[in-house]
Amino acid sequence: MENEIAKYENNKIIDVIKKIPDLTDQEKTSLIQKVLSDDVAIRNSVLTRLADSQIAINDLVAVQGEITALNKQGMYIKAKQTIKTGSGNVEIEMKGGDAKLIIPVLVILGIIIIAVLAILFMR
Amino acid sequence: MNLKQPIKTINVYYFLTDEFLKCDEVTFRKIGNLYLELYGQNAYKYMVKTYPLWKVRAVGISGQTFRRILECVPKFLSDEKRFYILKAEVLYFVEKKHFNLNNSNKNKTGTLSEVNQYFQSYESIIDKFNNHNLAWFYGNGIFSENELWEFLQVCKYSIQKRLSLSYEQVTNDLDLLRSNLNKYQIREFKGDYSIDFLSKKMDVSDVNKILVEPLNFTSFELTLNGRLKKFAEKYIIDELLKLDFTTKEGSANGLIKSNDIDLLFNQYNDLRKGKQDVAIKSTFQGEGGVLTISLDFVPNQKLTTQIVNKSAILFLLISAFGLFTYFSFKYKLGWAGFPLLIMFFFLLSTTKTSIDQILSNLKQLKKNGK
Repeated sequence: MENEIAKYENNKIIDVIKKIPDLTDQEKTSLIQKVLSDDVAIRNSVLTRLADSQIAINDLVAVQGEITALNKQGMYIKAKQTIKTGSGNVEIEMKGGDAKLIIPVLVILGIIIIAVLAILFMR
Repeated sequence: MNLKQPIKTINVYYFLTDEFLKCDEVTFRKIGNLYLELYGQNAYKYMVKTYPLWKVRAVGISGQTFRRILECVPKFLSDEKRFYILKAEVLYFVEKKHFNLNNSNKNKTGTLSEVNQYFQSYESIIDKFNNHNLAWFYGNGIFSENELWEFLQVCKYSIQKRLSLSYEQVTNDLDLLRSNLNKYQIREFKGDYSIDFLSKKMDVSDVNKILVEPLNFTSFELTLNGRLKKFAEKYIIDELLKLDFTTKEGSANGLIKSNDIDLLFNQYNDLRKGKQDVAIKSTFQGEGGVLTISLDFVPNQKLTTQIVNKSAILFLLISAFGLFTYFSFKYKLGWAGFPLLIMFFFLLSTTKTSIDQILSNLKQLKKNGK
């Protein structure tokens, strides 16, 4: 990660500033200071947001652990969670659980009742 | 996408009036000579007589005199001040143009295949900027044709740099999304992407199917040699610093976004192993814009159960309808006609929705790899 962050500190623009003939030394120094201060601001922002992403990972792992536990108990789950990440946010919504076969059972019972009634009527 | 209406950094007219009212004796004499040459003896005498009263704001400047003064003053300002008003006016003009371009159809979502078109059309509009867009400065001879042309070139150069950087960042963002979709084998999702620089939104759900051909922007060399060269160079340096910052900030956003997309897809694939319906909506700030992704998953077991349920209900309804019709005719139940009709229409609509649901579930199962 240090290598990734290091690339925001390249000296390309500083070299350009140093080579401009019409600038006074004071102007050059002031511009270079601005570049360096921007670099520091970006570096800080990257570190803060990477930390946010890391917290998001921990949050998601915790949520998943709870869901796995509830699944094992065969419970119905309905959950919604918004997690802030380094670059935005993730909103997760879950619902469901053990799929029950109540309706097919009821339907089959219904068919049996209709069939019995039909037989009775036909007689 | 909130676009800010451009605001004038300075009001050129007030700035020039102010400069006129506080100018030194030598400059006043120079302005006066030009005034005399352009508008005659009477106008000149009135101007000289009323000047002290204007200065203490005892008398207001009439519209005609105001316009005349505005035409004379800029020619006697220092180069730095002339560049200052030129820069303010050109930048306001450019920003207004940018605002108008981006504000039109800003709520319309385009397609990914249009991305090159967005950039090309913007580039062609920038290319058309010329001295005639700054009629007041040009027509009144406040700046020479060359001075205006040179500074417009500087602005065009800077905008084009920003445009090509934005294009590069957008394509990087799309490539990152593509590679992650392939890595995690995600075949279907809904997504849109808003380009920061152009304030354009486009649908990226088919990012894996549409290949965007790389776009080459017209490059031009910038050579400055006019009177305002020094100031134009300073402006360019400021712009380069901003570009440098945008590039670095974009790379930082790209790195974090890559991390977060990885996290999202990984989590989505894990959640798919569970027994719940999963809906994920996420937003990422990328290098050149904001990506929004929506992912949905319904477990196979639930889909199968729904298919069985719907089929059984359909079968039950058809059986009940068949039996009822049979007995109505067999036992000549005249009163059954109306309920039969209602049952028929009910059956018709239920059959349609049930078949649609079954087909959609089968499609989803296929998508899930079953």
